[in-house]
Amino acid sequence: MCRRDNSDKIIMDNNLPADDPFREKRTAEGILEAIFQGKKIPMILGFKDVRAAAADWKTFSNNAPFRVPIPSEEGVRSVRQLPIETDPPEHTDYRKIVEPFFRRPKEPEMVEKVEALISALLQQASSKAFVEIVREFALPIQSRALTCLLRVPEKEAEEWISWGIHVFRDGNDGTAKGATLERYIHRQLDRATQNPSDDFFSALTQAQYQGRALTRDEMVGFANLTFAGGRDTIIQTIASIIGYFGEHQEQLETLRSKPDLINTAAEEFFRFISPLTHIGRVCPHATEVKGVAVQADQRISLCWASANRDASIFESPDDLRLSRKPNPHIAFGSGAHNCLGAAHARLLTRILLSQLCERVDRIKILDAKKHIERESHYERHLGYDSLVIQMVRRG
Amino acid sequence: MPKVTFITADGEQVVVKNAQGTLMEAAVEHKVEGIVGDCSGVGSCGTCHVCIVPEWMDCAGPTSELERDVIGQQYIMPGSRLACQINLTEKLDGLVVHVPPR
Repeated sequence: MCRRDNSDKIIMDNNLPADDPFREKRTAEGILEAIFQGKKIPMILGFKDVRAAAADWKTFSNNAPFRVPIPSEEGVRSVRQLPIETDPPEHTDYRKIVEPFFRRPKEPEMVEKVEALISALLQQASSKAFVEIVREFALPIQSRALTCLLRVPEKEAEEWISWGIHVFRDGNDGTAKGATLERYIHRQLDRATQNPSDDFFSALTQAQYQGRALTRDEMVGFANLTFAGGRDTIIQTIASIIGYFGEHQEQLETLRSKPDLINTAAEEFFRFISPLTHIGRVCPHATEVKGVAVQADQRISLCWASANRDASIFESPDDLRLSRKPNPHIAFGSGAHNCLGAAHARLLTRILLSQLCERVDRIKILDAKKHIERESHYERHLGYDSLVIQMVRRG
Repeated sequence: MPKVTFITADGEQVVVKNAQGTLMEAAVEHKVEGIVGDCSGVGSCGTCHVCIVPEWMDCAGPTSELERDVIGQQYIMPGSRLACQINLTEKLDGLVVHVPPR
């Protein structure tokens, strides 16, 4: 149950926001005019409307450096993130440069490495009396798995782990954090230029874009997105899955008894958690969305989290059904700009689910601090600030 | 078990005999270029878009609303389907599909 205060903010009667604070607005109007950084950004909420807008890059453009993420990132980086902050046809050519790396989760060698690293971290976690999942388990999985994807030595992950769960927003000084990231990327690109290998940074220094080499800013833009994207999202997906099984032991037992549900279960967790609530687009020309006028250069948001709870598409959308199929969720976005790291996130999540079933008898939650996204017009529960559990081994 | 033929965007023909499961699973198992099947067949990722040749369209069935949403209206062509939504049965023995360029 929820009510509204005078500012139209949705407030839960039990003082806890729901996973889906958009339900009423989505059903009634399909749009929520929210304020971010002092600017009005209409959020598109319905599944079909979000899908359609994501496909229409001429009206809802990505060609907007720093302004695709919400909040925008002018203060925390100096480069346009690539390929995401471009539109086709440039986007298509940029994306092709890095796609071979982001398809690596299909390679048996990569699968084996990720299995081994998740196995080792599960072993470690279950050998302790308690473990804090967000920083001691999910963050190391995310960072070490990324070393596999980018073909860099696993020891690099230790520096990446030190950046926290978000490269810009974990701590008070986003500008300093962003500068740290860019200095690191420059160091790696310098090293790759002098001593190239088969790693991601070397590939950037050797890449061709429309018949020319990439500029240094373009290389930094690719690397910046690679480190910033797929970080808090993967971490909160992992933490949410662990937390969910802590609260729903019966679902862990179901999955254990039906391992052929691992893939559909992974997709359902992505839909249910929707770890990226929304993303921005910039309107090059004045337009209208769901009856709301949008001025030229104004932003709108595509609210993946809301679309994924649309009852006109998903039966009983607030139920987590491990066998849900079809499940046309858009947790990884939709259209040309869909998440480059989706295959990587899927690999990690499927292996995590499989190994939890195999190795973990039960998860006992000792202390949970849920993470709340607090915005002008909604509050959304998404993952955890910290999640302390006891992981009880099988056998 | 049916025989199905995939014609990739480069014109390569991949013939799968005794195909089983869904059309996407048959394509992925035989490494058909252009069909990925990232979401393992729940109809989310749209990476298994195929076009059914005209003579097989009736038998394979029309593009569903879900498929239109996932493929995207601007990419829909005659015979567009998600291969993960096609269960291979004997009545599809001889099916021919094109894999559109990405």
